[in-house]
Amino acid sequence: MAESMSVKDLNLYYGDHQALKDITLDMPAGKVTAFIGPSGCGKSTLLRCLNRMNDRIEGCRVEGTVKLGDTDVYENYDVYELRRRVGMVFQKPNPFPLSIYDNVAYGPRHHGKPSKAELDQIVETTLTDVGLWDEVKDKLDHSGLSLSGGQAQRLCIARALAVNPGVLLMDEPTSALDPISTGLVEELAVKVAKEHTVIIVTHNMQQATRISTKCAFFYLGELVEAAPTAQLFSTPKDKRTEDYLTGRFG
Amino acid sequence: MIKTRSAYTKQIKQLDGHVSVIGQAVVEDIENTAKAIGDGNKDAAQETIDGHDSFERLHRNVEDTCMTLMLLQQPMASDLRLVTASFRAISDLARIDEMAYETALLTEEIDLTVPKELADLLVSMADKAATMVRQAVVSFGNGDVADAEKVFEEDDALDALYEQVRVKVIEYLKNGTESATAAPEFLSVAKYFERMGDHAQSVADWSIFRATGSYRGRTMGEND
Ligand SMILES: Nc1ncnc2c1ncn2[C@@H]1O[C@H](COP(=O)(O)OP(=O)(O)OP(=O)(O)O)[C@@H](O)[C@H]1O
Ligand SMILES: [Mg+2]
Repeated sequence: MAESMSVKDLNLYYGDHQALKDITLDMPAGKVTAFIGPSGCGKSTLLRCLNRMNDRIEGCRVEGTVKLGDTDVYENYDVYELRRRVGMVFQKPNPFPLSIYDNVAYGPRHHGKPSKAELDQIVETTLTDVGLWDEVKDKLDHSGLSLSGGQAQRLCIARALAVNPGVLLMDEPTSALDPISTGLVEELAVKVAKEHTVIIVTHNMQQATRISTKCAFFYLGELVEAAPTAQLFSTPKDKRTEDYLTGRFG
Repeated sequence: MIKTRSAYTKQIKQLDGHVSVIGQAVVEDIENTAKAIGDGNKDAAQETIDGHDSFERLHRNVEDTCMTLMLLQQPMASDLRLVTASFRAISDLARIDEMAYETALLTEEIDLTVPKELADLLVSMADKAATMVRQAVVSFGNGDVADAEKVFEEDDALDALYEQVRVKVIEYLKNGTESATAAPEFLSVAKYFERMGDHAQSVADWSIFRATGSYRGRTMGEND
């Protein structure tokens, strides 16, 4: 089931460098929320806070609250359970060096103890959901690394969805893909959002307008403005958003 | 054809000027009809008739510019509002100009200078319509919502003038005097001026949209 996420008064430091400043933002359940902004403004950093991927980074310090539904994920929260409920897809498709089947079965095997038949079912359903089943059903034992970029990205989305997360984080998931694969991933993001809230970072403005219902603009570690997407792109309230969208920056 | 981003910025800036030029031409054409009706000034009517083709070309060119900008540059934020509002506003302005042109043609065929009391009413209507268009175009350029709202206030006066013409025309028709023959034409010209006022209001609506992102009280993305 799709879950909401929210951050409140979030500050994040890499050593002495403050990368996020007083961020407060709601990301509604069942919708696509997009993060936009110039390179280095902290989009990926914020995305990583949402499933505590920053924990691994030395010298990284987080203040404030991050909630999944009503629970604070930085307080007494099992990080492995969190990563199951909040999945992540990266810019560069990174299939595991395992078979296509095992890439998808990997998560479910580790969460709960499904039978072989149940596992087969999960693999087929999830690959069908991402539109990959027909392309790979005869070569499930081939390596995930043998797929094209677009197929590999959809395999990674399938891998993330196989454990039925409440939220799916996507960091520039189409920036390495051709227009057709990009279109497929966009369709997929919109489709899965109903069951798995999608939060996506993108540098492609048209992509943000096409798929997101809410959009947040970041600049130099600050959340400048968050609004319904059509509103943000037609009538931004802040001059910095206006300048960024019209390409008049600097 | 626009290619680079800097050329784009220039073209966006020019678009503002184009809308204002079109607006100015429309105002002059309405004023010409007033001169033709009020003073029997044939030259004024001829000027509007002669200028009609080049006005149409100007309108099409600016329309093309808007479409090209949308296709090639996907404008956003205030640029998006400028391009879409311009696209719609110039179409209203072109409709107004078409009616001024039709009126000018009519003054060549039929003497609209008599009866004087009807001619005077039409001149008042033309003046009012010209004022409304001028105000709407000014507000489009300066983004002043208060200026745009003045246009809506003016429209009641224009409607009242139309009503006066209508009542008078019926009187003439009832009396069946000599001057009654052109009475129906007076009513159609009055209808043109009345509709010019409606299109001027529409331009004012687009001025407000351009300035605020809200069109007749509805903001994009609000009801999503
Ligand atoms: N692991 C890290 N250690 C130290 N500083 C970091 C680290 N990751 C990011 N930063 C810094 O934090 C700031 C925000 O980086 P982040 O990667 O979140 O930006 P971004 O908005 O995702 O940019 P891009 O669009 O280029 O991906 C930058 O100044 C960056 O240099
Ligand atoms: Mg990033």
